[in-house]
Amino acid sequence: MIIKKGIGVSPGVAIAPAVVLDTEEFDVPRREVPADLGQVELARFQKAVATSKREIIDLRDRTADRIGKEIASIFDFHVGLLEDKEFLAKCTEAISEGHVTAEYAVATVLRAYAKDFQSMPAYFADRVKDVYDIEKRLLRNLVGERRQSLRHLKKHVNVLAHDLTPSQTASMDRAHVRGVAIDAGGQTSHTAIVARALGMPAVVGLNDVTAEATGGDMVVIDGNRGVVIVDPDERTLAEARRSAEQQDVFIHELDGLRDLPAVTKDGHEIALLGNIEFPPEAETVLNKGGQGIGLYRTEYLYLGSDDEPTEADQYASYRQVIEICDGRPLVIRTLDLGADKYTQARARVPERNPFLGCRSIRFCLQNLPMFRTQLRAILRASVGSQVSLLFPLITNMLELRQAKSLVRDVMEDLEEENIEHRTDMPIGMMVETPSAALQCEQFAREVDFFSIGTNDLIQYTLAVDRGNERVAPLFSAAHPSVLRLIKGVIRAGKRYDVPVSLCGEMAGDPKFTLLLLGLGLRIFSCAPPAIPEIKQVIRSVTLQQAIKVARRVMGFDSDRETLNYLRAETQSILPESFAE
Amino acid sequence: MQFVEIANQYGCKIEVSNGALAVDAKSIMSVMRLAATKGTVLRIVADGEDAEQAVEALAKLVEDGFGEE
Repeated sequence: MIIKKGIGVSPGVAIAPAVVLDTEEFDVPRREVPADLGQVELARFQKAVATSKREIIDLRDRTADRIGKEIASIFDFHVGLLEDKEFLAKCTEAISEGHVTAEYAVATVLRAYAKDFQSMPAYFADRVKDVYDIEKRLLRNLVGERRQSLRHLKKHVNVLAHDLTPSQTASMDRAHVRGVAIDAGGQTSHTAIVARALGMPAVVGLNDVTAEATGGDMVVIDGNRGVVIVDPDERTLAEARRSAEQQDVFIHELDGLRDLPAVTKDGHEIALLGNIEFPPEAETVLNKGGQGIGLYRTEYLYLGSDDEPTEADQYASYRQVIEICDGRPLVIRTLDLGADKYTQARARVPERNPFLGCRSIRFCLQNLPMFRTQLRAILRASVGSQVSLLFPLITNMLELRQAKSLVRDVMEDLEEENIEHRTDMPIGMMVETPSAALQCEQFAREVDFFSIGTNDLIQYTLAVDRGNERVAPLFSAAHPSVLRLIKGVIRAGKRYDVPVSLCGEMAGDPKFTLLLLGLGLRIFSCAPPAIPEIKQVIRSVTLQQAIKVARRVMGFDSDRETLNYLRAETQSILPESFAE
Repeated sequence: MQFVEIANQYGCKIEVSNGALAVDAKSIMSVMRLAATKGTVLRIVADGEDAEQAVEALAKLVEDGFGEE
């Protein structure tokens, strides 16, 4: 039994056999495969060989056209190896008799060849490069194939991986993936966000859980405590099962709150909305008792494929959400991509510091055709609806004015083209940088609403990378500086009659609800699974209590002090929500 | 490579040796282990229906200098 501690980013307990996704690094750990799965592993190997062969033959044919037959004949060696009887026999033996993964078989057999060749005369030593090349290709096809297989699973599993891309998490077979445990990542990585939205227990920042588990091992993922247990003993397994059952009961109880209003004990109405990434999630928000969508993250429209989504594609997605919302508020945020594959791939030179680079609104303002397409789709889809437009990462006044002016431009175009579109769209901005928060009084005069994005606000204010597991503990919504900024924005909103919502993960964390209410926040937008619990807290307190808590907290000088206090206060109101 | 290709054209069993090691002539990875460079003396032994043709073809290839190696 191995117990690993990480960061719990999505609550719940998941108990299932593991599927381990290896990294694409050169180090292939020895993983055993249960004897009855040997056939499956063999099939994977054969498929990877076939795919690799096809790739090489294709490459060879193309190279022959361009460079010449002689050079292309290098690939003949590669094909020759992949067809080689001895090579295939050795791998097959390792898999069926050694009971190891296809990856391990390939790596060991090929490296043995490489070693042999190294001690031989020049011509052969040169072939070592080729052998490594072939190894990489085979491994790539094997790993890629395993990733494909996450889409169609036959039984319940827990997925353990070094990291997951947003599109991988998005395309996982949700019916069968019970939980997720990741080596990399911090509190608000993509994996965390999607796992929370799906109500799937998740633990990140485990560093090396993929090295400690083998495919098929029973794994417990405890998203509440941030603990992953590989191959638990009888007692631990029983405990975990009991925990999981208790969770289910608790969730069912909370579901009863669905149709009740989010009103404090002393009668103050609070707006409780949901954050979504994909249109179908809008249903989930409403099912969980949310009053609308406080944040529709549109990036997933772009991350799903390599091509930019067309205006028609986008229009369809926006319409889908609008129809589900049926007149309820819906805030659509424009493309907030950055520091990831999408923008890096399009950069002429990859940025050295993408987080402080050309991302989000900056990227959009430097790629006007793409940005206009999105704005057109949103304006067209929003006819007769309650949609508001939200700009991310605004850091200076000119940026905001430029974006707003672009919206007017696009509206003019649509006028001229005689295409129906929304003409009175409220426009707001995210407050997620210190510059925006500190200048909020001036910004308040130029927007229709604010949305505080605590995920990024905390990162930029505390100078901490949320995805870096080495400093992730420094990331805290309870930091006094962060709280001061939040307080300032809420106050500015009040002064200039600009509604302020908070849509970061902080909004979905029940221990911050009292504090935020006390600071004057009246609009919360969080991940759907969190909605019932936040409503529960709201309904169990008076504004008086909340204000007292906030006053106390603003006098603390460290996030730890604040967290301890908030935990204690919230626990006394809602003991069941704290399993710790 | 050509050596192995030609060897694979015949149905019989073919073994090639460099004096110290004898391997299956139809497996490129095995043949490479012979580390046969210019000057190495190869012994080709075939057993089966088309054994004679196989040995002849392979011997000719070696004598002609392989073409590639």
